[in-house]
Amino acid sequence: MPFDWLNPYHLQVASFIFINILLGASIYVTLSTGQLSLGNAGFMSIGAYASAILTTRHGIPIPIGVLTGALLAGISGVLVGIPALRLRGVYLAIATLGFGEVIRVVFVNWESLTGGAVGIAAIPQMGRETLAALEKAGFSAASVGLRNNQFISLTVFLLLFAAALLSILFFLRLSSSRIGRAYAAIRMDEAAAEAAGIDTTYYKVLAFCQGALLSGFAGALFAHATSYISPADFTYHRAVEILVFAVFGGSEHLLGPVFGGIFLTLLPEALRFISDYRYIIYGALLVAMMIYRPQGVIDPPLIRRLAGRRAAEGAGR
Amino acid sequence: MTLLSLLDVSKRFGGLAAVSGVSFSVREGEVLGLIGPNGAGKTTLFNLITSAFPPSGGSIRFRGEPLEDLKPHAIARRGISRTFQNIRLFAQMTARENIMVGRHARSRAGIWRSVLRTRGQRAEEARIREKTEELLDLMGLAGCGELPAGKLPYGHQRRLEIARALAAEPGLLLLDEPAAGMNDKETREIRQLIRTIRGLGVTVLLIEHDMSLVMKVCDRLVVFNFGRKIAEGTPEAVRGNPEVVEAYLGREEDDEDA
Amino acid sequence: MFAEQLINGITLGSIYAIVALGYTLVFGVLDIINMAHGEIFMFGAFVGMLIATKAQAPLWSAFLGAIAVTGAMGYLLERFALRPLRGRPGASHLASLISTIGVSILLENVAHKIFGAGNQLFETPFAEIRFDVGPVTVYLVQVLILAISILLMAGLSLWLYRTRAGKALRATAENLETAGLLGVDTTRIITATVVIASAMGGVAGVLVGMAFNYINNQIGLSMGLKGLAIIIFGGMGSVSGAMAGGLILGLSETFVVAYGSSGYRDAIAFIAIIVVLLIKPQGLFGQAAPEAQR
Repeated sequence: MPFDWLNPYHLQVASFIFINILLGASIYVTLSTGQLSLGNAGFMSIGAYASAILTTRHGIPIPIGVLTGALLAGISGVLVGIPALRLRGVYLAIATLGFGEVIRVVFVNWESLTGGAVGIAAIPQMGRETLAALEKAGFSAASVGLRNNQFISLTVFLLLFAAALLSILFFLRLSSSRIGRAYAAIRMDEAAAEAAGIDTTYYKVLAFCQGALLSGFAGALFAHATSYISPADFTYHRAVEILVFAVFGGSEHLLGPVFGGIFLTLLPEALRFISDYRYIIYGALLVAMMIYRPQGVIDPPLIRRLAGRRAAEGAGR
Repeated sequence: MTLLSLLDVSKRFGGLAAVSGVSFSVREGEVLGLIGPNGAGKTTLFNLITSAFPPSGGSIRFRGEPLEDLKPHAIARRGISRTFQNIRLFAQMTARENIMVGRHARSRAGIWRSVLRTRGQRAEEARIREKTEELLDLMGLAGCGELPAGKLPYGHQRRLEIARALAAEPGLLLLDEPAAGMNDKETREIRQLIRTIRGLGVTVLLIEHDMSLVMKVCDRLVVFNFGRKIAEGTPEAVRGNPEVVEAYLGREEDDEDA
Repeated sequence: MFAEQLINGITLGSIYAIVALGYTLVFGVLDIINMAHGEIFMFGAFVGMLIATKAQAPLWSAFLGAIAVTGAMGYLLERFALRPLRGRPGASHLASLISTIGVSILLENVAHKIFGAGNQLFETPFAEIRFDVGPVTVYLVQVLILAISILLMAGLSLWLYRTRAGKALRATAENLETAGLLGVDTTRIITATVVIASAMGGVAGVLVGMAFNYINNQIGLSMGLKGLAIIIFGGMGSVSGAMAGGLILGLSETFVVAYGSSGYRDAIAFIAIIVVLLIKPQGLFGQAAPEAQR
């Protein structure tokens, strides 16, 4: 086989990077209006369960399941976002964390729908389904020089890459538009933003909804990448992990959570050789990071510097 | 022609009457000064006009339409912009971005048009940028566009805040102590600026403590004390009003010479 | 049996109250949610287990050991994860939140490394001693837990409201800068607060071990989440709110489990705070912020 170096395990890790980028971006979008929501693990689980149940039990095709899951999460985001307008700072953070916990406990207990603590297995996997569909059309993985499991992992990788790329482009463009400026204005001074003609209520709920939608989207993709989900995938730890992607990477620019998602997914892998200690190091690293660079690795001045250098190089040529 | 009219407007905080039974109107095209000692209720009045909080009684009309039930952003859309006494810029944004935010009420692109960068959206952004550059020039801020607003010198911050308010092309501009903390030269610049703004056809409602500025730039004055209107008229007439002299000017005569 | 459930609920509630007090003290002074508090509490439980069960030493020494270890952890937390962030430009409230989350991840995994993932027995020699008051069975352990909790809460209140140090602490909580200007050594007060809060967590850890007879490296998380819910419920920084909130939660959990469904036990705390926050955004005992001058 010509592509022996294509290791399904590495592809899987890389695929998780994209899901984590989506999750990091999801908390960032809400945070870019100054609202810290720790409920994104909950929204993620809504997207994951909705899509898993629809596709596994009702034979709905994966793309429709994923979109429905994301949409449901987005609607829940509006439902949570409206009362959340009354809360500020840590109150909002803890209340949304509580929302996530309540959702998880509901999923544990609602056994007839969710399979309880055991979860849902044999969810159609996007790579395998793609291969099956292509095989029906007479295609075989071997014809492009890949083993089946390589082809499946590669498909998942490419699909998730596309999903992450499109989502990030979407929000990058949004952030450099009047809507993005409105978000930033609200984060910096809500009253001044309102006085400048910005409907802060609308934009805060919109940002909450977009964050929830994005987590739900990531959750649904997660379900169809792993083909198994259970409430244990959406605990407090997940909520914190999502937060850390954004804050470690940088919570003042969308590329922050992107970097955070990549770096913090790879770090535990890189530390695998000292596997027993890796989360201890991870924890210590977070503390050190907050002491030496509290705004996160990527911040707007850094982006401007990098962009400036590139522009200068371009001009020099 | 009356642009803004207040009729018997009151505001109580708990048991405290911050504004009681105030009536006056602002005519199109004039510069109207609101003066009075600290705590007389002037800023509260601004907050009532912009609906930062609702009045306890009375009515406020802009171009004949009531404002009380609107939210602040809707009032900005109707054409009333303001600055704040304690400068509220978006500190981490650049000066240019601050003005662009001010343009929000005069632009419309939604989520999809923003993301897909439609022709209409690009034209709108181009217009926003054009207007922003005009205002940077007008306010003497050319060259400061890329600096973070929070890092600008104090006087520049004041002018940037006015530029942001003007970006919405308001019919009425509320200025809350634009010359506070400024030296003579900067105060003269502000005076010139207010005249320029009026030249653009913008009506100005001005709160200011600097009497020389107020006397020189305002067409009419409304004088407050303890939440009530105690006088109204041309600067000359108000200056001669004994009640005003006693309540206010009498104590701060020195300001005039300053 | 209603009376027994009532006693169970009060016992559980008083432990919750002590955990919540740890959060509320730190928040009151520093405006920081100490996300590592649950894990410090867990270490208290493990130290108590090592002393009381593994070494068979008397129970009071388990408390002392737990206090010493968790107090020291509190000091280290303040010195290395909180103090460096204080007064730094650019360090938002998010930074300290993340920093303490970092410590909690670190501690949880240290505990996992040392003690493993499974349950550890926490035996006390008098675990089975009980007596009947009429038809009601009361365990000695419950009486002990209740007595210690009340002592601790009364002691804390006395200290806060009757001593010089307590007053300095409250002044610091009121306004850090002003207290500093008035000559209060705020760094010392802050350190003392974090150490005391952590030591209280340690005591609560031993109490939980006594109450449930087993501990594991997940109790920090579940107890931490409940503590968080309680301080939101009772109002951030409110000492009486934390006590009342703890009792209310302990009782409601016990009764929901006894007369309803045990599955939703862990959600009660958060359902309660979501409801409370929607009605009164500052929590039951919280002070409303004055109408902001905009």
